[in-house]
Amino acid sequence: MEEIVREMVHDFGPDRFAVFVYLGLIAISILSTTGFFLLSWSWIVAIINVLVTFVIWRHFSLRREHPRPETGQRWISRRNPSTPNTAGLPAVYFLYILGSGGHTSEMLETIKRKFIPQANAHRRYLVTAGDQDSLDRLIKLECLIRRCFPDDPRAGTLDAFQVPRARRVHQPLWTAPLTCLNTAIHAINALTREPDCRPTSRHGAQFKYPHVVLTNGPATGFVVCLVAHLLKIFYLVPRNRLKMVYVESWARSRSLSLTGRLFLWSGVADMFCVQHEELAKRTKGAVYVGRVAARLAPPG
Amino acid sequence: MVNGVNGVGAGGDGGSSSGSDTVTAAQVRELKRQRLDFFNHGFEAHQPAAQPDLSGRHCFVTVGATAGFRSLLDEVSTAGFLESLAGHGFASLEVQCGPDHSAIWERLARLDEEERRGVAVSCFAYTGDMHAHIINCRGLAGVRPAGCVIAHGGTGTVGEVLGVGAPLIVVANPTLMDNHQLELAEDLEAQNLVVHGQIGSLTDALGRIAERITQGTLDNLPPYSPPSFPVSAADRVTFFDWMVLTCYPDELAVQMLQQPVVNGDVPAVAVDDQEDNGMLVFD
Repeated sequence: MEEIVREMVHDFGPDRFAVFVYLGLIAISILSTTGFFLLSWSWIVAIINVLVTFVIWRHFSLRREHPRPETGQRWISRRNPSTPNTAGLPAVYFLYILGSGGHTSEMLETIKRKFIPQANAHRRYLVTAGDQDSLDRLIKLECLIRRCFPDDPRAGTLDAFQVPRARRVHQPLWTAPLTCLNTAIHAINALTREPDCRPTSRHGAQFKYPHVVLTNGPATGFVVCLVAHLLKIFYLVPRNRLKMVYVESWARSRSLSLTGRLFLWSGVADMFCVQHEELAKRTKGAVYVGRVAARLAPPG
Repeated sequence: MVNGVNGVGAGGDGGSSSGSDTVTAAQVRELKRQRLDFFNHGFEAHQPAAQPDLSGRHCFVTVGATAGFRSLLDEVSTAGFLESLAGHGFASLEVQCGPDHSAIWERLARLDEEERRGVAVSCFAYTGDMHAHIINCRGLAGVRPAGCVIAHGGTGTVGEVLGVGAPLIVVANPTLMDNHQLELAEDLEAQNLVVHGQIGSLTDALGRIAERITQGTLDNLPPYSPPSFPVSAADRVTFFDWMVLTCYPDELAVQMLQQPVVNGDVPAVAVDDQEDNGMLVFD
């Protein structure tokens, strides 16, 4: 069984896509450079103006569509066991971004705590390249799920993608933009490639894009969410897909992490969650979701 | 591959521990094979092959998988610390060193019998199964007394140890970004869940954890039972499913208005209902 899961996970899919994106970026930069020499100043200014205005307008119109923190708080305080019910939906497709070490532990614990057996569920994991530990642990989790639901479609389907890491621990901040760009370009593939196990021929476009992108603090998560936001800004992904949820690490009880501050400031995430009540009170726009990433009380 | 320094951990530490100064291709292949075996048997059944001597208390030091923590390792490999361990009835010390494995191994090997005070010492670099090492520190009635885990302040490690129920000393790693581990350590100490240890005075922390063990029932816990999976409906985190529903606005509107029906009675949350109506607007 472990072999099957391993195979599913190792099917990363070809990353020819990144090459095309690189070529596209080079083409755009060549075009804009030639335009810079050929066009008159007034044209250049006008084009840049239109572009910037469009991006800003789209950014704010997308932000306006985000559910309010009060709505999120209401979802949490609701005590109706029959909702939310996602079993009847055509597809439930999560993208989980695994960072490294503690980020992975927290994310896997969250996945365990939110798991519900449904045949319409697909899970995609985003792992940073070279992070064998996270890969092993997610395989363990998937084995656990498959052992609980052997030969049962309710175990759901899964696949995994690899991206280069955005920032290594202790990497100086000034080299980060370069590595981030590399991550971003590889992330496009993971965000837009439909799962092989859920082809369009059988499911239509239901599994084309993830519904919810869940991240909890690695810098990679912010880069991926920024790319997802840009895809929505340029109408490359419909706006009712790629809902981004940021869960601040359980370690942060009084102040936000750098990634957290970036998410909050940029407004990229649809929902900004923290796991400590005190921090939620201090942070405008944050939802207190409780301790979703750690299990404190010893069982038994 | 030499893992053990004092015979206890010798002969490898189960299939999952890895890392030594020189690893040949054959050893790598062996490790891979063991790793595969380990998965075939399922990870729940996995136990380290060389069980530490469990008649005395067991101390496990871990720095996590991501970054090194040299100052903590330097402190636990001193004669003074081992003396304090022996004084509190500890019989064995196991250290997960991360990238500093070879240096710490040398430091531990330099200690002579006298300085070790009868504490069996072993160290390794990484493990794929932290749980198997932590469980040795959980007191089990009639089998082993409670030991102690000394860990860096990473959420993964801390969460896992507290989930198992082993006594825990958290030492925040100050070299990481914003010194963020300090927050968690102080918070958990305030909740009386862990002992917050300081570099330079770990022996004090050890005294406090020993006090806690002797006062409480930590030596006589029932056998560890892993948390049930899938979790019960009452404990399940449903928040993220609501986020999925925001992709289907019609379905979301229907479900947000739905009221629980208890034995056909009128639900007691009528007030909530009206507020819900107001909150349906996403602006």
